[in-house]
Amino acid sequence: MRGTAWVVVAAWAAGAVFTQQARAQGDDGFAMLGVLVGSMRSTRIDAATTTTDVVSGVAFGAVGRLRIWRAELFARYMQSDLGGAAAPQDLVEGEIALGVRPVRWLSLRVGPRVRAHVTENGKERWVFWEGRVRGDTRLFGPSVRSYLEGWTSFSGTTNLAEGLQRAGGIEGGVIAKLPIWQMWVVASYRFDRASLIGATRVDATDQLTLALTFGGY
Amino acid sequence: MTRAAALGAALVLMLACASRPTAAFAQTPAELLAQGLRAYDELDFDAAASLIRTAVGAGAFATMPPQRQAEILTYLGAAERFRGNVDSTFSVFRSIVARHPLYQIDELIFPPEVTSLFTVVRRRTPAIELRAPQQQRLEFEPGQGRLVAWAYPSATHDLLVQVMTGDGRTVRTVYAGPIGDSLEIRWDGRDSSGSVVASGAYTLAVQSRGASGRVERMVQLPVDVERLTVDTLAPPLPPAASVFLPERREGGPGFEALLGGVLAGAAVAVVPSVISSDAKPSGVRFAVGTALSLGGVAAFLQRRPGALLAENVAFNDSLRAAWRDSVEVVTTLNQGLQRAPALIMRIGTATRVELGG
Repeated sequence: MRGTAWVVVAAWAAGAVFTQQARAQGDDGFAMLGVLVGSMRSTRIDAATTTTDVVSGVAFGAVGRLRIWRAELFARYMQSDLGGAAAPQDLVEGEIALGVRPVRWLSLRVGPRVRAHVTENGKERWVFWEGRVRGDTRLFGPSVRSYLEGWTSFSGTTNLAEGLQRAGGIEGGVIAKLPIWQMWVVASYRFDRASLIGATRVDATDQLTLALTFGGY
Repeated sequence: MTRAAALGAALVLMLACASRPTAAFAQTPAELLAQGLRAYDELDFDAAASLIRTAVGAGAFATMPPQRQAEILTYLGAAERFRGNVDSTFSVFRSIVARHPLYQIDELIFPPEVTSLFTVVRRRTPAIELRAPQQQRLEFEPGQGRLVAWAYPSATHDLLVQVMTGDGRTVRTVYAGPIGDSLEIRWDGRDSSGSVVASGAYTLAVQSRGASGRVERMVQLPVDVERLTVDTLAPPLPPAASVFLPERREGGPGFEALLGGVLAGAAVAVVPSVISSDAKPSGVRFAVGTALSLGGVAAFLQRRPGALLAENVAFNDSLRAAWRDSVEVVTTLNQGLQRAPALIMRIGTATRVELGG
């Protein structure tokens, strides 16, 4: 959790720096940086043991984006300490993606996503190479928007015996600009599912996230 | 013709020439006039009358200044008076008064029997001296300016002052009544109905009436009127359609919000179940999906197509009102300009017309 705290502090500090630049650039500024907090639930289905383990907890993270003209670089980090009926674990996930925005409401991104499950028994690492499509639309003027993002993996690896079969997910939410500085608040729901070859393992995560960002989302 | 007859004719011609003053031959009008005045001083009134009348009949007399003409004619009238030709005296003095109504006889030169006779003639001869800004260009707006001429009479009498067209039609009677010492004649460029006259040649006719009411003489003052073309202001163009804001909400944004909200909500609620039938997604997705859908519906209702945009309507109304105001101002200005066009009057030289005996 100490690492998460550092990430949050760093995100806030960097956000303050980027605020002025983002303000000068308007809502579609070249820089966006924010912090995330929310709930995470992880569901694991093991076909061999026919067990389903569900753990949940609070998640923290950060999100950032650089945008130059129609190109953008996107990064996201989340860390959570999960517990419940099954063995506790830390779930850490990070992703980075390069993207283009052909039109104002559409973004296309490609990049890797890494997920690590840290338990007492060791660390599982999943790496996904994914393509993402995101569209947003204005609800109430330019200040309140809704968005929907979907992704699927092209390939991936794990440090488990079986290789990655498929991964994909969806995220949707509402973005609202606050009437102070260039701050935005984002409420979103995110679901992701990954399975190993032969469906011997299925991992799914639900995230309900609240983000506070500088310079849009 | 016989020789005796020819000699007789020559004798008669010589006698005829001998009976006339010898100076009348081969002399200039100025010399004749000088001799005539000298003859008057020498009380040779017959010679004086003859010489002066001859000089007056010469063309050079007309080129003399009016005052000098009147003085010479006064000598002629006085000579006739002393010759006993009162009628001739009256005639000469009447012509003096008709031509020079303000002329005063010099009582230091002429005796009372002459001056009194001139006074009587002057009283019986209605005439005026008309003074106007000759050859001047007057420019004014009717109602704010006028042509002014001054009439000075030989004696008190009745005047009729009219503005007439070139074909003799009366445009306006400016004055009708007696004239005492003087009269200021004014004309503001309007006809008898109050309308501004058209461009053209007009005459200010001042008629002097005798005791019987008959018009005896008239002074005509040509007045060339030019009605200036009024440069009116062009009415302001209405505002271009591009400057108006849409008064009713267009359908695009409302439908976009509805579609985006409902699609995102439905996807969030449904897609997780579709892609993960084994690992059951959290039920919170329904809450999020419902919120997104309701947000889209609410946004659509708030931005529903065809809704009146009050702020834009007010802005457009202010544009239209400003345009109407400017049109009204220009219209008022143009009406004022057209109602009172400027006039230019060019005044000619007055001429006298003798109408009565």
